[in-house]
Amino acid sequence: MSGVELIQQIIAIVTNQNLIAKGILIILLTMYLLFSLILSRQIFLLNNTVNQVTFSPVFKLLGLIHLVLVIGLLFFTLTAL
Amino acid sequence: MQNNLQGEFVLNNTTSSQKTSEEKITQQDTPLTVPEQKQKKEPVKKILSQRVHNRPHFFSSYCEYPEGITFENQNPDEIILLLIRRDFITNLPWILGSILLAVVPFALASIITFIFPNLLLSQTTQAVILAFYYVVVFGFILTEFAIWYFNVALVTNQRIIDVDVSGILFKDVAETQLELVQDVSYNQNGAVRSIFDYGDILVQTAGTLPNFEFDRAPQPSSIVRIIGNLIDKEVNEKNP
Repeated sequence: MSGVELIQQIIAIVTNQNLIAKGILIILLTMYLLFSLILSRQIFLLNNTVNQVTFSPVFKLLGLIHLVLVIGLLFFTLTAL
Repeated sequence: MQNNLQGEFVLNNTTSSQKTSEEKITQQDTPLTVPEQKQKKEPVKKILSQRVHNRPHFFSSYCEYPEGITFENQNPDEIILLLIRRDFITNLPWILGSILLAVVPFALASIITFIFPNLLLSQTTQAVILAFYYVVVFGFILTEFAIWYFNVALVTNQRIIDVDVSGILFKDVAETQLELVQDVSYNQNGAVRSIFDYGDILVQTAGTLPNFEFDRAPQPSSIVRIIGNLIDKEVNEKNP
């Protein structure tokens, strides 16, 4: 690959808004995935501290749904975009 | 709350809001002191059978004799008398904030195309960005709710437990035996607190032990009265 072709490829990448958006989304989603992991784990731990029989499983499920949504979105961004 | 014949303090079967005004007057007239007549220790099951337990909702901020609640290191014979959280009305700011955040994309949709006319993102990319935004809003709601939900104080027949969650990563659990509680008081300053009947409760413990503060607790006068009665009972049991 010549120098001109390389520069043209870089310009193509830089001017491709979808590609830039994908890169930013992957970075943000990865950071948010860490947060959602911590949140989900904390919800599980705190429910052990004070357990409300009727609602605790629902709350844990909500934490898991949040985590699954983030993983799904990250997976979709990596593969489909 | 009233005394039964054996001198055991029991909460009324009905909640305070369900009581008639006549009953309330009777309660107010009843001195909040423990009768001198001492009782023999009753089996826990018998004590439990005399009381109607309430099943708290997920949004309950005050519940007497909550049913279906357990906590870490709970003793087998330990009965939860009170479940206290911050008054639910204190959640209003973040609930309104969440609603606002949920409608922001619709409001901004036309403005964004006006501000960034050269924005050429595909429909899929836009959909993913929007989905990510709503996942973040969902996370915000979960976090705020968790902070409220786990900021809980439990008054049992043996001790007072205060769980403080200041952020999703910061948990502080403190407890004290009822016999170490010396005084309990509350303050209710401001119009909003008076209208919605919530205030800060301060439980003072003996010596160098840390005091407890139940921040923005609902029905503070009832809570103070119940804890006060429990302290009196402890004192009378120790010094008959």
